[in-house]
Amino acid sequence: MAKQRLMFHTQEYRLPYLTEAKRCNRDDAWLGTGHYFWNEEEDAVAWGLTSKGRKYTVYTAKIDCEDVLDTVFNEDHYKFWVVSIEKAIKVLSKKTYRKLTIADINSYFMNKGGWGTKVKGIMFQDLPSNETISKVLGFYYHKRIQVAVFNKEIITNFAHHFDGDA
Amino acid sequence: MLKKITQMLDLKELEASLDKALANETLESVMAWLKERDRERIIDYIGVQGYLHNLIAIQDKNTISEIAANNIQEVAFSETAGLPLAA
Repeated sequence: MAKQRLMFHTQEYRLPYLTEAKRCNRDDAWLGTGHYFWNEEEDAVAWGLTSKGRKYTVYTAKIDCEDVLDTVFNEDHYKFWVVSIEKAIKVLSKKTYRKLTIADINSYFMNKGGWGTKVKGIMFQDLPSNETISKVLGFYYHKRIQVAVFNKEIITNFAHHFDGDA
Repeated sequence: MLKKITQMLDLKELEASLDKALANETLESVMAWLKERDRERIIDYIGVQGYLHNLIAIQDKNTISEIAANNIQEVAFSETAGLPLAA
């Protein structure tokens, strides 16, 4: 089905292998608590090498993107997301005099903004800060794309893919 | 080659619900949301048991013993909700 993507989930190597994706609760997770998947295998490997210690495991899953806000490839979705973030910042930061994180804003969208029952995930790209990731000097031409899944019903066919070792 | 993805989200509907929520916000409601957001984030991070354990530990040491649980959270974590805006 065209609306499904095969994506990659990196975790620490641990037996038995996971049978479902692990929810990320890290405080620095870009879009807050969710199940995070990489769009490309090489990014899943790079994340394993830099963040998961000596040994890591990459899993695959199919992600149903029908109800995913796709801020990477869908221009309408991207523009809508940017405008929504800026609207929220204008109201929330103006009232509180605080600079919020993108995870805070996303939490607002999902909970108070009424998106939680409709948006099951957000596809986004971030900017690596590790120069060794880029194959050219000083410019990341390769988008590092992830999806943060908030409703795990859109994750299917989760399976062990391979183990990696630094 | 990437496959074309068909998107079914109703952006107008999302926009309307967000606009409605933002229009109804007051300083009090936003601060209450931030407080709840801090609490949820901490519980997500350390788990419900860890969160309660921390509260009990703080109370047992009599450092903030008379303060209600939700206020302990506020004292301990209010700065984590975001950085102050630059002047």
